[in-house]
Amino acid sequence: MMDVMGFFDIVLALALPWLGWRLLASSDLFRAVVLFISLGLLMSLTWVRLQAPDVALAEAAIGAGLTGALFLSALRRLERLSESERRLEHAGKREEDETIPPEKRRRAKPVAYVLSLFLLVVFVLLLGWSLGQTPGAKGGLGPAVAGQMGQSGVQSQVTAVLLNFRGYDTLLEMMVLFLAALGVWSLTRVRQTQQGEVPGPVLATLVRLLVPLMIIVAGYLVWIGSSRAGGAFQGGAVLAAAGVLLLLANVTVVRQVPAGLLRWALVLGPLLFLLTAVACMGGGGNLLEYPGQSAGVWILFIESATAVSIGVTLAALYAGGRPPAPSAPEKDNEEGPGSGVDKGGKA
Amino acid sequence: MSGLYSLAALCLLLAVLAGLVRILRGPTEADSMLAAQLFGTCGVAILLLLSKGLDWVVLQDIALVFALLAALAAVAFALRTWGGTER
Amino acid sequence: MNTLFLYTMSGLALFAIGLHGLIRSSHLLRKILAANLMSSGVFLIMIVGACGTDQVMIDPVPHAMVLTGIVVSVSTTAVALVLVCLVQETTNRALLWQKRKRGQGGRTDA
Repeated sequence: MMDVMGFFDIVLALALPWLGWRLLASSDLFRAVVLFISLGLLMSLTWVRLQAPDVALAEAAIGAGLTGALFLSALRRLERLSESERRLEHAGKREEDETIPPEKRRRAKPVAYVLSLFLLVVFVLLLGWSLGQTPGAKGGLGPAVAGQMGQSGVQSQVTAVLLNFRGYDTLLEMMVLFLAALGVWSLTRVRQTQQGEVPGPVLATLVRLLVPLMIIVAGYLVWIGSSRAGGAFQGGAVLAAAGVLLLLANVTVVRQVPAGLLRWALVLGPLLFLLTAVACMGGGGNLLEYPGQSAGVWILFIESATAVSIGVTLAALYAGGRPPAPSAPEKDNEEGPGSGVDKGGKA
Repeated sequence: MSGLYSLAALCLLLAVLAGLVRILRGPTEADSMLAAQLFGTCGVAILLLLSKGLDWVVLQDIALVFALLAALAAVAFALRTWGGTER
Repeated sequence: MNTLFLYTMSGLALFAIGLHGLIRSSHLLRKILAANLMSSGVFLIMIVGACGTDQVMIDPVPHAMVLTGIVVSVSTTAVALVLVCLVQETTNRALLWQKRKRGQGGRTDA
C-alpha cells in the first residue's frame, strides 16, 4: 500500500515540472492554456497527497475551473482582436512579416540568453540551498493552533486560522479582491452584445442543470467549512463558477441584474467583515477578537457574506470590465442595450 | 483491499499522463481539450478511489467540486471554437 | 521524508521553469502563465513545509496562507489578462520585444 502510494507520489512530483516545462515550451498558446488547466488538476491531486484538503478544494475550484475559463476567454478575445486587425491590414505588407522566421527573432542574442540562463540556475541553486538551510520547525504552529481550537468556535483548523486567529489576513485578502475588481472595472467596459443571442439547447440544459447544483454545493461548502475542509473561498469559487457559466451562456437573467445590486454584492463581504472587525473592538476586544463564545456564529456570518462577495467578484473579474453603461438612467427598463450588469464572458 | 484502491488510482494517474500525449500533439484543438476533460474525469475517479482507500471522506467533496467545475473549461472552449458568431 | 523532499524539488523546479518562462517568453499571455507557475511552485514548497517531517501534526497556518494566495493569484491573473487585452487593443499585438509593427496575432509565437 505505502509502496504504491510512494510510486504515485513520484509520478506526480515528476509530472508537475514536466508539465510546466511543456506548457511554456509549447509553440501554441491554446495548448499552453490547456496544459495549464491540466496542471491545475494535478496540483489539486498533489495537495491531497500533501494532506491539504482545503487547498485541494480551492485549487479544484479555482485552478482547474476558473483560471482555465479566464485564460480561454482571454485567448479568445486576443484572437478576435488580432483577427480583426489582420483583416484591416490585409492589404498592407503582411508578407514582410512572414518572411522573418520566429526562430530568428528568438535567438537574437545567444550571449544574453546564456547569461540569463546562468543567472537563473545560480539563483535557483541558491534558493534551494537556502531552503535546505531553513530550520524546519517541527509541526510549526500546529501545536499552538491545536491548543487554541477550543475557543475558535469552529472545528476545522484551517478555518479557525483563516477567520479567527489570523482573521486580518482574510480581511486584507478580501480587500485585494475588491481592489482587483475595482481595477478591472476602471480599465475597461464590457462590450455591448446583441440581445438576441440565445444559448444553444445543450448549453441551456447544462446551465439549468449545473447552476442550481453549484449554488447548493457552494452553500454546502461554506457550511461544512466549520468542521472540515471547505469555507468561504471554496464556496465563493464555486459560486463564481456558477456566475461564469451564466455569463458564458449569456442568459438573460444575468443581464437583468440591476447594476446597483451587483455593486452591493461586491461590497457586501468586505464591508460586513470590516464592520464586524470594528464592532469587535467596540466590545472591548482587539480587532477581530470575537466576543465570548459567539465566535462560531460570527464566523459563519462572515463566511456567508464573504462567499457571496467572492463569488460575485470573481465572476465580475471574469466578465473583464465594468457593466456596460445603461443607456437610460439605471433600472428603468431592462431591455435597453445595457441594463446593468456584466454581460459577460464576451467582450 | 486498500492496496487495490491505490493501485487503481496509480493506474488512473498513468492514464492521465498518457492523455498528456494527446494534449501535446493532438491534431486539433478539440483533441487537446477532450484530453483535458479526461484529466478531469480521471481526477474525480482518483479522488474517489483515494477517499475509499485512505478512508478520508473529505476527498469526496473535492471530487464533487472537480466534477462540477471541469465542465466550465469545456464550455468556455466550445464557445470559443464553435460558439457565437461574433463574440 | 523522501517524498516530501521530492515534492520540494518539484516545487523548486516549477518555480525555476516559471521564472525562466517569465524572462524568456515574449508573449504576454505566456508570461502570465509563467508567473502562475511560479506561484504554484511557491505554494507547493510552503505546503511541503507545513507537513513537517512527521506526518502527525500538520501546520494549518501555511495552508491558510496558501489558500489566501490562490485567491489573490487568481484575482491578479484576471487583472493582468484584462491588461493584456488592452495592450493588444492599443498596440495590435500582445508581445514584448519586437520592433516590428505588423500583425503577429495572439495565437502563435513563443
